[in-house]
Amino acid sequence: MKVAVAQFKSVLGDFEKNLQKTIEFSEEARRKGAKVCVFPELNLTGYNVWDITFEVAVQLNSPKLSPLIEMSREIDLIVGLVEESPEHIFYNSALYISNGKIKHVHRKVYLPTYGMFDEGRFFGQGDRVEAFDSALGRSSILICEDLWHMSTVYLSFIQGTEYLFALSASPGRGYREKGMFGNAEVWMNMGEFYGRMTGSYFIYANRVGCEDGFVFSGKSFIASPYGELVAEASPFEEELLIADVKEELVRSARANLPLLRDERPEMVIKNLRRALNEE
Amino acid sequence: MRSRLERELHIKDREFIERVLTYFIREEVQKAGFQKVVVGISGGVDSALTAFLSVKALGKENVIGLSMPYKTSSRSSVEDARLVAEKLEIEFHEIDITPQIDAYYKLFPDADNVRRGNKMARERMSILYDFAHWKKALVIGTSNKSELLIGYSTRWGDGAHDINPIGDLYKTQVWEMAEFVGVPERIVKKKPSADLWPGQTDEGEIGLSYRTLDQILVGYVDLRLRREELIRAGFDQKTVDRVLKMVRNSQYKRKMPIVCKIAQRTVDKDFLYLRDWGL
Repeated sequence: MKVAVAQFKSVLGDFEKNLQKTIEFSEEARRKGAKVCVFPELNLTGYNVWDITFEVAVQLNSPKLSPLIEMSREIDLIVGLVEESPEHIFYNSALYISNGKIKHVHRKVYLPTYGMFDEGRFFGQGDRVEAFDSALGRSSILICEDLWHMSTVYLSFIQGTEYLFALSASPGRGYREKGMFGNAEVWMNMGEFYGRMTGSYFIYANRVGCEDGFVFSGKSFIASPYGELVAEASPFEEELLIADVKEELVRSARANLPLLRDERPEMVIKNLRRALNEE
Repeated sequence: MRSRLERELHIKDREFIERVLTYFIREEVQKAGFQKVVVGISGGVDSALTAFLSVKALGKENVIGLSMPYKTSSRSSVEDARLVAEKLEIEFHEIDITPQIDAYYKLFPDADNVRRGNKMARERMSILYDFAHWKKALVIGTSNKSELLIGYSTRWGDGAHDINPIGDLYKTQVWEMAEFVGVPERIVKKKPSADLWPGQTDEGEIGLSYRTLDQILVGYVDLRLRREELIRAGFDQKTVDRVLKMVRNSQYKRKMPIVCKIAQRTVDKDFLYLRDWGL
């Protein structure tokens, strides 16, 4: 089965323009035979939205999403946007849209609020990491900083995730690597490592473009359950990355390295309770 | 620790960083609706690197170089500015600013070097912006990270520009990059000078070498080391204190004017939008 990753450049704060391009990429992905097309974090709004948060936010029943809902009858989509809850809390969210419906929503759980990041100032924290069935199989969506915390990867793993969608808008930094920013290399290491340790596909969709001198680091990729890169995008250009993902490779990896079988969540819970002095 | 600081300054893949900086110039100029930039070329390495990067990013037909000597500017500065323009084959103007500076200081014949130097820097800024309007161009800045951090610049003079590709490169990194992009060797190798009066050198005026300055700055700024840790790394206490004081005392130069808050939202405080809003 084919999956497409759209390495995307957003116009900051222009939902309509970004929507238009999202549809164009989705059509191309469909033409090329992909079952799912994955976009980066906040691709419909741009990343550093700050006070634009309250101007570009959409509720999930908004007619603004109709073109995506329509498109999803032809190809499943994972898009990033500012979600406004019925209680008017604003989330950095990703939607899985399939066959005319929003099938799953992931609200970013860990909001980086340090150094150049200021998400906690504008967004509410999500509190669920939940696996769901995508067109590829058992899947989870995590957003950027979520993945820098082992807990979210563990939670998706323990729920049987075979396809981990990692959406990010990672501003480039670090000049001590070759051919890419330092953070892009960390993402690759992470994809290779987590792919192998969870026996899952790690599907990484990152931004390109520039927002006030933040140059997004691109290098989107797909890593296999054996921790090998099977597709890799450029550091700067918008492009559609397509790769074949194979359920049998997940099976093969997990047969050879039965880490999920041997995992002991009850033991983990027990120790967490003890560590938190709840026992 | 000191060798760690030296390593921290080293750019491993200069070709990649050149690609980042040229990508930044292209993106930020073209997104804002411009094709061209104007750059003040002093004959020094910072402006030479900036001009080289601009040509690589936008093409030689889109870069306009201005040399703006005063009668005391050294002949080699003027010649080296010409050399940069010739090498890059860009539109180039040499404008002598002596008449307007001297006309003004006829009123204040006792004015010291610093006053005169600042006035020259602001005169040059004023000419760059006049050209920018005339040529439908953005003014590209040439301040490096070392001088930005210690405030070795004239407020609203060389410190005023639209975009700055080299502002996150320390002076020693500017040398590395300049050599890599092909800035003529005699410009890379010569002693840095603001050339505001005869015989002036940066290192003489700042009172220490750029190598030492950059190591202290990269430790303090990038690695967030504390004063005592820098001294333990082998820098002498007086030098560390002087550098930290220069950083602190020049914070005002790195900020826009401060507004007195009386309302719910205030332009410089909680009206938070990137400049690339909608771009």
